Amino acid sequence: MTAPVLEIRDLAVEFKTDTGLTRALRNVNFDVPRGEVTAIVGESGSGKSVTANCIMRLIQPPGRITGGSIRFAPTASQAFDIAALEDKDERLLDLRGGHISMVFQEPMTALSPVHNIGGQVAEAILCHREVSKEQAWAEAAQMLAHVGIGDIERRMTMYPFEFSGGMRQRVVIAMALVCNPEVLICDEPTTALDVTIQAEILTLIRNLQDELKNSVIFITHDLGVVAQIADHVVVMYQGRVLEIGTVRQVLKQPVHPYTKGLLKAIPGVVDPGERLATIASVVGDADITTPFPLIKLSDGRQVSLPRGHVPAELKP
Amino acid sequence: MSEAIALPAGAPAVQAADEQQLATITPRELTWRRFKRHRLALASGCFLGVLYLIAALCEFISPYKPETRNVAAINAPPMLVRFFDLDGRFHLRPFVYGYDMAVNPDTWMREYTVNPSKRYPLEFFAKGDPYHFWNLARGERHLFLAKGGYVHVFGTDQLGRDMFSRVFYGARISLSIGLVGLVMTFVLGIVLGGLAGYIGGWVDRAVQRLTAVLLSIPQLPLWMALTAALPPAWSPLRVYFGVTIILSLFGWTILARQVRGRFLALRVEEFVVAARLIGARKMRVILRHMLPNFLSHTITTATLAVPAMIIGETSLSFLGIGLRPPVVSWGVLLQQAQNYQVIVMTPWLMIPGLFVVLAVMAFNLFGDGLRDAADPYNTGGQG
Amino acid sequence: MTESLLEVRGLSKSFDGVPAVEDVSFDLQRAGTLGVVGESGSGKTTLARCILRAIDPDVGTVRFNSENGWTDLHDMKARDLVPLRREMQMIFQDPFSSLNPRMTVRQIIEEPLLVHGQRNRAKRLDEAIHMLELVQLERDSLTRYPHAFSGGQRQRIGIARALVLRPTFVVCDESVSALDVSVQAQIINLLEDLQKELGLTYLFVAHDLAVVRHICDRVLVMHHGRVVETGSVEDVFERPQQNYTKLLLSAIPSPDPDVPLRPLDRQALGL
Repeated sequence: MTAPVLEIRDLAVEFKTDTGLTRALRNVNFDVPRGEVTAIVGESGSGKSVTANCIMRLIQPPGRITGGSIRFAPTASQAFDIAALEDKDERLLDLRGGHISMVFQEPMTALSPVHNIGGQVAEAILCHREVSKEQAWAEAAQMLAHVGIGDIERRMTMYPFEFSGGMRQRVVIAMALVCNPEVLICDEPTTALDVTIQAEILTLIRNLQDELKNSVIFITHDLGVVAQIADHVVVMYQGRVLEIGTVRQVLKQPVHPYTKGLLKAIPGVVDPGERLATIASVVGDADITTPFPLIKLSDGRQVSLPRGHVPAELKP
Repeated sequence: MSEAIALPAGAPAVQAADEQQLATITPRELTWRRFKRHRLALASGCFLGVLYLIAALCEFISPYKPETRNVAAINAPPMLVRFFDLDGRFHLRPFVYGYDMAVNPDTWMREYTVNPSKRYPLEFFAKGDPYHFWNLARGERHLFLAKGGYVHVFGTDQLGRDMFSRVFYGARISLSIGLVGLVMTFVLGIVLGGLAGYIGGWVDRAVQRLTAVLLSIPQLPLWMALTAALPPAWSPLRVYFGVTIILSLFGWTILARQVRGRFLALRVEEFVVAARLIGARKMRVILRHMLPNFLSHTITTATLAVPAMIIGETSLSFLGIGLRPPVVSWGVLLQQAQNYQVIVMTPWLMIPGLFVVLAVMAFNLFGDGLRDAADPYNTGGQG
Repeated sequence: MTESLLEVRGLSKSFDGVPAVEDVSFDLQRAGTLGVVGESGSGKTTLARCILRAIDPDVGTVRFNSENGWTDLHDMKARDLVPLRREMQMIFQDPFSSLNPRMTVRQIIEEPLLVHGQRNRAKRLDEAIHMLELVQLERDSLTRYPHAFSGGQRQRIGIARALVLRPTFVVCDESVSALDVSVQAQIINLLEDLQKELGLTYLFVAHDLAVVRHICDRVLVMHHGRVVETGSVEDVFERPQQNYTKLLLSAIPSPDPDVPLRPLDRQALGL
């Protein structure tokens, strides 16, 4: 097994707010395995997007990374700590859009409304590689075909507003992939889309990943999406990691009470007419707010629980 | 990052005491809290408060009446209020030194030198020029006067009038003359913009066309024509006042557009739809549900419009088509500083200009702070 | 006992010539829950708003079985609708924009009572407190402003406002879509409890099919402004007849990693 592409250790982020300091992330620890899809799942306020923004070093005042490290190990060059880079470090420019790129929830805001689609994709290529304009355009066409956009020649001269939401998200994915990044971060890329379009985009991301073998971090609140896209799952809650494991471990035999609650609360899991379980009712008296350190269980997963609460058959 | 700050949903309520407190405060208090953090805006607000207070009390604060002449000190430079005399001795009561005047035989200019033997201690709440306070009460007490001599903190002009007194009398006119017109502008803007935005249809189209027409009329020539057209028997002050009011009939257009835009945006907000669906009548929807949500925004716009009004007065009076002497305003005072000679020989005549700059800057900073603080969708905690 | 509460016939609405809802007809049974599903642009929200006359339909009839017998909503003057507003209310999607940021929770919940002429202060307050208990919020919420609440709590306030007039018919327009999973479960349970307790009839507009399947007993599938399929939830979800319904159902990602997502092909279905 190869070394993880990203190792996040004790990452902490604070935000200054009206009421004082909010600890958006507290001692976040997890690895992103190379060439696989890692889903970060959590509700609002869990810190899943903040984590992604840390990896891209997009945290801005009033927010601040107050501790920890993000070790990034590219295949071709020396590993380094993203969290420790100076703001002016050249590696940072190289990182964003080069080594690591990001797809956001709202494709309309990620695209410039006054430039045509082809130009924007070509521009993404020109930003990071020294090629001629013609070549960039040709590569852009190739990439757009790759993400399933037909009638390329005509579509490339069109503008974002002439595209549907799903098509725009395809364009954004194409832009994110033009430089063949090692890590692709998708921050709720299908949340704003209809369910049929979501299915298409999920299939697209999965197929592209199978083919390009890059590492994907997929951030979502939807466990159905997690089940369909992820190899590994990181469950976050209130700025902490509660459970890490393979998708089957986490979704089929969750250990942490919060994960259990999250799963039981989805409509469709219980029969219609039955009451939905709420997280509070599943969690019951279990303590999910104290930050227990992650312990590694016998099946390889990690969970933030006091030792006494680990099921006997999984004791390390 | 907004998600990081949002309250943990469905989580056991671990709320800080501070957050508990934040929960019950009104939007107004929330605005005040945010405004307080805007130091520069707060300072500007205080400065403006003091300035308006001085303007309101200018008869009392000024040592002299604006038209009082001191023939012994024509074009005299500003005097320093001292606690230490030239020998370095401290005096509890502040004082000024009088001037000796000599005419330079080469240039024929008056030249003033400080005469240490003419030491005039300042006397507070002293009797001086009698005045009518706001035409309501008679008075003769002044905040300070120089015992046995004269005090000109900002110097005097070519007629020997005290600039300090004139600046504050001018402040009263300059800071207030446009306000009535401004209020009218706002009432017109809100009513017409609101009607256009809420009723829509032909009302909207009519207001839009009218706006387009009015916006295309150049203001300066209009101003000059109006000044000439008003009855010549009117005093300059009354003419100016009349013109500002007539101009307000033209000035509401930009505000009306803003209000219309906000109305259109608010009309589709879910809470407004909700108000309609509970059966609230049109007027109730507008007055109770929509108006409070853009009033703060409108007040802010008003604050930012005041400096334009001050600049308007100053520049028009400076050009000679606004106020004219004997009215005292900042613009009128600056007319004296129109030539190069003044800038070299008597630079203190430009002090009113300094006040214009300070007042305008303070209003802008204040308005900016207000705008940032009053935005209801920037509730620093949610969304 | 199956008595109709609402009859919609041939309802159409277009905006600037673009049809949003076309020839929609259905009946809604008292104390039932009818789901309206469809993707964005399917016209489901427009349909809901036409029924409540938040917007005026172009053609078609909407008949409502009110306390005073059957009433035609579609051609009623806005003024005459006011008393009927007591009986039909709406719960909105966005818990952030659906509450007036300048009003306290008390003002928000009492506003419908005020509008409908309840002048007695004490009675209004009693009613507001009662509603808060019903939606399981603390009594001290009354003096607070919406900004002090989380999304789920705000949605409860919105429900309290909708129910304070004791309506029989409630339109839920994507009312749980913007909420987190755990909060969503709480609100769905609350809506179900309230339905039993108060005998409410819901028209439940949603794009989330799993939610609709859980809460509704009948469902209406909309596509491009038209109803493509209607039936009991079981029939539509288990035995869909129309291609569009099949497409929608095939696109739902299952939370079981061993049930792979196999969305049908739009083109192959001729959609």
